[in-house]
Amino acid sequence: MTAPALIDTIGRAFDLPETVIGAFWLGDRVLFATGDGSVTAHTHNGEAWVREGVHDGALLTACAGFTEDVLTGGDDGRVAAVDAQGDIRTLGVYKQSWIGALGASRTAKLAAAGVGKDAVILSAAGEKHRFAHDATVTGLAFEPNGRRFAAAHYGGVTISWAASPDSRRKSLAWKGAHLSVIWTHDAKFIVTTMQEQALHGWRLQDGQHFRMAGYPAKIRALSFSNDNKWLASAGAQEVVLWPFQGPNGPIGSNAAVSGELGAPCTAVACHPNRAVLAAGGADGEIALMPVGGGKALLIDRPHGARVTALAWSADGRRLAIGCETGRAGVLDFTDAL
Amino acid sequence: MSTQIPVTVLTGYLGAGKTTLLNRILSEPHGKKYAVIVNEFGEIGIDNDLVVGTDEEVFEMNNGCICCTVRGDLIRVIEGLMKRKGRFDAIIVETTGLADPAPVAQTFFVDEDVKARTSLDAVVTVVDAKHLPLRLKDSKEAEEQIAFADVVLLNKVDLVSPAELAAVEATIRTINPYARIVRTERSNAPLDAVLGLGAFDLERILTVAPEFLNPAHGEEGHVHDEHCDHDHDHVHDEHCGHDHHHHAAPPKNEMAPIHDVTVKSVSLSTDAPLDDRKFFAWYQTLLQQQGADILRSKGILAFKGEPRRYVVQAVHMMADGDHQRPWKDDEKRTSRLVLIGRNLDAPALEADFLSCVAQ
Repeated sequence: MTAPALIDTIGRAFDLPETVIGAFWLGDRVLFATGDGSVTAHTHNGEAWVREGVHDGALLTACAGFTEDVLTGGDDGRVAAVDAQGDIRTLGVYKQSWIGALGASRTAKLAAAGVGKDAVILSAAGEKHRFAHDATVTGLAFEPNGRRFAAAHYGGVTISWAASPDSRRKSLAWKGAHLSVIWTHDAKFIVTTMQEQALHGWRLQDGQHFRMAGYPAKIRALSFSNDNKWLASAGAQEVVLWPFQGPNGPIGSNAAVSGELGAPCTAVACHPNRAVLAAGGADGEIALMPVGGGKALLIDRPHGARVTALAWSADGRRLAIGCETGRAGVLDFTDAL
Repeated sequence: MSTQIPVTVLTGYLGAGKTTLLNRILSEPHGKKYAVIVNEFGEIGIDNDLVVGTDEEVFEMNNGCICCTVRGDLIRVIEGLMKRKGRFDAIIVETTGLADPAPVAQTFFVDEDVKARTSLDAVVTVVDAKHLPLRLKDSKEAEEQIAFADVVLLNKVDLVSPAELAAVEATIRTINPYARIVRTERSNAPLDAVLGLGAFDLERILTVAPEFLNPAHGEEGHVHDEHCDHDHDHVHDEHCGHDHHHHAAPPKNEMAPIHDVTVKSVSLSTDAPLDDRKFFAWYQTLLQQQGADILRSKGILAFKGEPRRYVVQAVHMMADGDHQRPWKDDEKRTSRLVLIGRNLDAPALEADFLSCVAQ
């Protein structure tokens, strides 16, 4: 007898044309960006629209935009913004570059795109500034107030003031390739995922840095818990949680774990206002788990393809899921949570 | 989940003929679509093929361990290519003339995504027959590119005399006796000599280097068979250890310019079955301690009490091994391990290898 899965009871599964790169809620719609270069919108009830050819080539990365939209980057060198109605705007075109890193700030109304070794700052009006780095920019993130942004690259992280390229920049060096970057909500810490199976973190106040290692697989996702006390990470069968509650963050502390998946975790998304998280694995299994550990609920059964996207709506009532093969789904937890 | 996309790595010094080969591959009516990763957009680009330009970006991991050095740009490009399946059948990576092939090859062992979705098919090195001696004098990369090769495309053979050609082939053999040498004029190699070789595939290792179980020409114990790429004018047997006048060795009085070569190969073999535990303990320690100097190694091993052949291959410290088909009844169970590298102490290696013989 197979265990009941929430996707069958409170959700709906469907197939998208290609690998799901990201899923983003805009009100009651969720936009799925897929590797074939298209963006598809769904509501809880069904498909709202499809926009093919947002990119003339592969869609490589996507992030929540700086207005009510989603930003996508492709191997056509384009940075596009797609809104809930399916209107597409081009923010920038960088021929012969692959746009594989994007970040945005709603507060600052700015986006950052990795164009080779440069981070380009974009506003609704287009390119504003350009920041050079020593190596290809692989990850970008604005601090919560939107004033500075962090660029992850080989050799560490560089923090720059988005509005003033001439201001002093901060270099956080650590040997190795840093792939993505995330700020804590209070902007006191920065954490990167690495090419190695490890995270690296810095306390910005004094540059104290720390390594969080011991993962059996690449760490493909990070998410802060609703109370910002825990950083949930993919990369192991258990969701590994690092404490960020005190002034020292995880320095000198041990990690906690939540429930376990049947395969290494590849996607994790903490609920926006409850102490639960959704975690998906390399075999397609998705589970809902309490942040501190405890009984998990099955959201989707393993089907063999890696989970690549998990996204809660802002009110936490809905969850979107997406996989490497294009399998996707939406669930409504209104009555369940 | 999905099948692995084969990747061919094309190396060679500037001007050796890589671009000509690439254009030849792309323009032949093979009905396949290739994704080509190049260092700079040159005169390449055929409809239907995807040409991607990258900056060679070498990543040192784990605090600079040479064997964990990978090509970050390749990881990103391959991940990007894999976001759309079915768009191409194979990937060709062209390196710059000065590139060290090790990080390219190691990328396919180290990165879990690249490893899962692609398979390294072969390292093909294009060599200019005329200028190789000079290249070997002024760069260590030229030598390493040959050492890493599964296939050496000896190009521009029409521009050298038979004696020069023989000398250059002998030099290549000194560095890497197990690469297949394909002589070409304007990189006019048959496609099946450079693509779809499975040189890193443990099941197929022998089809690329058929000489593998067989000591090299001129070495004691060499057996000529259908794989020898020359005509036989007399019957050879196991004991023919003499020089063959038709073999691509330099004439006696004309020395190959091997004094410029710092890479050499050491070939170890025994007919006595090996103790698997002893062997793995020794081989792993060897790769750990001397992996930086050992560019490539390959072996086929007969373990005591094991009916199947064990095949192993490594790029620096990155080793990959598995049991293969059973030994045939009429097959001589010779264990053979070849190491290509620098500063190799052949007598010591041989003594250590022989100490792995099962008691």
